[in-house]
Amino acid sequence: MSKKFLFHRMLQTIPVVLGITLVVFSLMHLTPGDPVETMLGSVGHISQEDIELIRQELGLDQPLWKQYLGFLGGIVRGDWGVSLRYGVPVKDLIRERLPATLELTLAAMAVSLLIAIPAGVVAAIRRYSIVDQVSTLVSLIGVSLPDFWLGLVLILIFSVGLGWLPGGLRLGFEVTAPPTVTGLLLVDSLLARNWEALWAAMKHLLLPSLALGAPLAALTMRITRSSMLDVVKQDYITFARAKGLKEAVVIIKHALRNALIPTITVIALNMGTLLGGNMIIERIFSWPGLGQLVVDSIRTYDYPVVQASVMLYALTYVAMNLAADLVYTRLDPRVKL
Amino acid sequence: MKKGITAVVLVLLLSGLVCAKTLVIGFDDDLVTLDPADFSHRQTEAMLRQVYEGLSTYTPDREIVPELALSITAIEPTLYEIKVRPGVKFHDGSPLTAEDVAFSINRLVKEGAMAGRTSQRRGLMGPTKGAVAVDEYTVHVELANPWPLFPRFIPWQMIVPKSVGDSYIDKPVGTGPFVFEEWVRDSHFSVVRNPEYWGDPPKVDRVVFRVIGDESARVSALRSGEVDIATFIPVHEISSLENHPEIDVVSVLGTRSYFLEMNVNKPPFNDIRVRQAMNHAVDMDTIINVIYEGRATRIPFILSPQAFAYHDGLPMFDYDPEKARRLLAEAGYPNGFSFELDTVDAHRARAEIYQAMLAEVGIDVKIRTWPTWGAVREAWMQMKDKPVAEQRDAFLNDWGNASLDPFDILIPKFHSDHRGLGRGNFSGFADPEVDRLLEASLESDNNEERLMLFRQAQEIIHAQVPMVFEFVAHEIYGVRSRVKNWRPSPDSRIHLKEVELAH
Repeated sequence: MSKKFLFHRMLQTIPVVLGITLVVFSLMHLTPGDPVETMLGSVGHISQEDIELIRQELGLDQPLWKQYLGFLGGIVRGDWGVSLRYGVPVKDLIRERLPATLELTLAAMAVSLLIAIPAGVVAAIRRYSIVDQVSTLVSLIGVSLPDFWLGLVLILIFSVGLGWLPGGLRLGFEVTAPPTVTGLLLVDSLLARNWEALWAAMKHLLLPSLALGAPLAALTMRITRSSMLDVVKQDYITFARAKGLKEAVVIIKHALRNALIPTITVIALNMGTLLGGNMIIERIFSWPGLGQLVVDSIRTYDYPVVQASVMLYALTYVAMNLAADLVYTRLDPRVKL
Repeated sequence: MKKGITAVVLVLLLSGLVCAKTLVIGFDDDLVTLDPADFSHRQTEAMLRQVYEGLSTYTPDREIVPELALSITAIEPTLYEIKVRPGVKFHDGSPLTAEDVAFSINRLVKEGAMAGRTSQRRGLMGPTKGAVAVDEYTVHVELANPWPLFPRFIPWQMIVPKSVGDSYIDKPVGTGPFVFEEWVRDSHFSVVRNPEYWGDPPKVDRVVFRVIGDESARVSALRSGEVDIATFIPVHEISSLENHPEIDVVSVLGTRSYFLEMNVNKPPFNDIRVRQAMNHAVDMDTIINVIYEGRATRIPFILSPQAFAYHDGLPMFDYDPEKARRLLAEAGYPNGFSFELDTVDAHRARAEIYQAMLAEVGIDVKIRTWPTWGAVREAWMQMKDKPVAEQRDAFLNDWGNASLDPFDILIPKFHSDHRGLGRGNFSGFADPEVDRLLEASLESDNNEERLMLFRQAQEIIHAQVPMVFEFVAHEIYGVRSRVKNWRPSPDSRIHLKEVELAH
């Protein structure tokens, strides 16, 4: 893969991201409602002059194009603005929230892969067996279940019913948090050798990542199964077997590696979906991540936060697509970029 | 050896945690700020009030009692004298003085006092111009014009140390029964017991407010015992929670009144018989039972039964569709009419019940909804240059009367200055006598007199029927039985000084 390709792909992201910010900016401002009115709530004692004063202090009295250019200029200078709702720099808010969302997303991804790949492989090599039938049924159910429903049911079973796992938060408040290095609690507590925190973080992570990862696992499992079925029919697999290689080696090294290409695409594209799904799962599990921040910011017309987070989402999406392309070349040398 | 010591310390710490009494409260929304001068948000107030105190405060019974002030007296109509409680310390150890109180008041009313921003709570200070410390424990507050309501508004504000300067507060230091511990946005806000509290120190060691925005998840956390108190229990969960052996459902009459405002300047609602017919055509008890499962209290007018000057002599309209049809026929609408009912999404279900009930008497309702009140206002703005008589037909609405004093509901709703797109008189009601009575109430600091003025005003307005009068909803909490001595407050504050945990 050439550096030129990479450079071109990077350049392509600029108009994409610009376009997205423009759409989001217009949508936010076209939506009826007003941040100051929302902020002041139903307090009926506020005079029109005070409302105007607050609007002025927040720069909301400026014409829209000026506000947009100001926002873009800020981004270029590395200044993401100040949240209207919290009054703190957007950058700090995002820096505070992003690790939580990232940890949940990665955990959900891990959960889905741990379920999907072995299940997909087994279903493919034992085609039409009971294992295949059951996993097909389970994955069908998994794809059809909305994640918020699954989240609530998991809470009802494991938290309310059995009392095994907590129904929310990242760490609980009985445990001392490890010092922040990466912001990912699993990593930070490992680094600090704080086993208590590690255990607590894992327990808190399990249900939300299952709720978020399970629907994706179902999808990934189906893709893995069908592409495995394609691959095992290929001549080189027959050849590998004829060479007398162990079946496990044939399946894992020769078949799975090639079968993973479509799976990787699906996973990469679903990183975006996972980030979106976070918004609901984070709310249900009181997970202090980016998803909750975005939802609350939309609700309270906190323009700078919405714009910055959407841009971040867009960049992630673009980056994940790029990453998928890069991983292809590793897995299949024939793919030239 | 080192490992052994660590283990012992760990065990001690753990057992300490087990013995420490932590009360966990499941809240529906996060704080918006840690600065007590920068919000108008009930949840933020409920949490910050654990750390900060006011000069005076409201009890759950809605009485105003002194807190950091010993007395607040008017020495002139535009000058109040505040005597500050001596011997109180902020959580950083510095003593509370008149300087801090004057600083806190000036911070609320001065433009750009919080790192360039102006307090959102300035409106709650009325015509307050500023405050000065006259001696160590005496503050003088100057008003631009007489405002007898000053002592009723002071309980809403919190006192901060003057060391805050012109900065924005991100680490709260107050005088309250609890000391701020940490705030993780959208996760939790926690405070610990202040052993040096000037009053009786609280009985729980630690309080954690957990943010659980999703109501089902909040109820689940209550069921599993992860939270001890959960706020805003949805009505459909009540009966199953009531059957739980360790959970009590408690409720309190809220401060929010519900009603439908009819534009009295525009046909058909300019005819009082039509407005009466509307009141007779709607079966309010059914609405209360269907939407609120009985957790609402019907009212004859718009004041809550616990409000100051509540008029219990006003008659309630009974459900009588026959009478409604007769009144409509008398008013010249024997076949009914059609009108547009504006509202916000949150009231959609209620609007649809209206639609069905009014159809019974031949009235056709077209519902128009917007996501927020701000959106409704924006839609109406396009009509702002037209006279009130050509604007909206009717608005299904509610109004929070947090002070439970009629002035901040009767004035915005019925004073003629607030018609049109002002802050609240959406029925366009105007009556010179009502205006006079309401204005007189603002200038009086005599409770007897205010009571009479408000009662007279209510009688005149009620007789004109500018609204379909509805109810006050209850606020519902779920409480684990290990929580002792807690009861909800109508203003959504959470009073925790007396609360104990059984085990």
